[in-house]
Amino acid sequence: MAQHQDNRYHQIKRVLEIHHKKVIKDFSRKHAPLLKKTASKGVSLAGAAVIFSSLLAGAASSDISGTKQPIRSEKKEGSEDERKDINLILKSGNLLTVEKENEIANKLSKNFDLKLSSTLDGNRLNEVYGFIGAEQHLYRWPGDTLSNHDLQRAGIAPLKGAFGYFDNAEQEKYYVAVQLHELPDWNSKWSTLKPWYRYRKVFVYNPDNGKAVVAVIGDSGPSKFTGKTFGGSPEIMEYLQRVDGAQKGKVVILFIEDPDNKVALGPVITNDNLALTR
Amino acid sequence: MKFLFEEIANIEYLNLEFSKLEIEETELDHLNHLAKSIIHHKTLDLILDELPDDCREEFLVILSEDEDHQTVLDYLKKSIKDFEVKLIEKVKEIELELMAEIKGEGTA
Repeated sequence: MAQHQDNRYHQIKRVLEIHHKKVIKDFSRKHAPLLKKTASKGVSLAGAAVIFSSLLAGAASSDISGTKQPIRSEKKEGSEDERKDINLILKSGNLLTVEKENEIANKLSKNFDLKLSSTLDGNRLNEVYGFIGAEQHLYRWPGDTLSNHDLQRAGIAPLKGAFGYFDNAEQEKYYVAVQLHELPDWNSKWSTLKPWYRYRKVFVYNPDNGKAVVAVIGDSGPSKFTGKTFGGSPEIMEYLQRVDGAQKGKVVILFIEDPDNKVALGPVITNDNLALTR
Repeated sequence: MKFLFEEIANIEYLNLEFSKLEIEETELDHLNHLAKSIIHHKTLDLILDELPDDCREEFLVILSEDEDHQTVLDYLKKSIKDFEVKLIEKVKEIELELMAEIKGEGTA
């Protein structure tokens, strides 16, 4: 009986997820010009974010929130030229100087209309540019199971993340792991640093395709011996088109200045990459 | 947090169907969320189709600022003839469509 019920649940869930994905796709295609036009006029989208989430989610997700969310970023201008400039800086030497980090942060800030920096409140990551590996899902709350997540092929880690359970599903969906244990003052100041880094909003950028995601720091890792600097949730890796293993690639991670919590988690859609979802 | 359509219509058939399942609360929430999000987007599509061209942008602005849906509902009642009737009919139509899909999957 229990097995039958479980099968029935998964049957219904599959039907609804397929239907949902199609509805979002159709809606996004049909109304994209109107939604883009409204967003470009600087209308506060907090209450209407559920509509825009359809537009912005693309095909990466079937989990469209029905609740009010913060505003997503709209691009201003010239992303392709900026991307080439940023790539030149990133590939100009082995180590990024603070000046180069600032230059990259300024260009990305302008391009994505966000306030980005490599240092915030005196804190900085051990690296801002490095290889990213694929992480598994993490338990969001007590009783959570893999079957409640999208992208289930990624699996779920046996233990909670470094900060315990998440505050909400969006945080787990868009989380990164950073090497907190490699911070020079981590051992002496972890009790004050840990709350500062807990679910801290960051900007994750793939310089090879110009795609970007707003995420939270949701875990600590990976170990340095892996050759990787960051870890990305299944949703982040899928959206950024980054893979693990021999074909692994690099990302830039910067802090986001968002004192009023207005920047939403998830893909940062620009006028250029929005066109890709049509 | 309610979806806009829930201010006027409910989804009793789907609720009844989901209630037959012996599943955890999080699983029930997930099914409800998927079903409501489908209906929400389809009813928004209806609204945008029904509104005059020059009202669509204004509707989005009002929706973005309206905390409890009252202003936006007043606006829609004023701008779309028989708005409530059309919305209820649309919700029922989508609900029956989803029910047919769910039942079809169950007997396949």
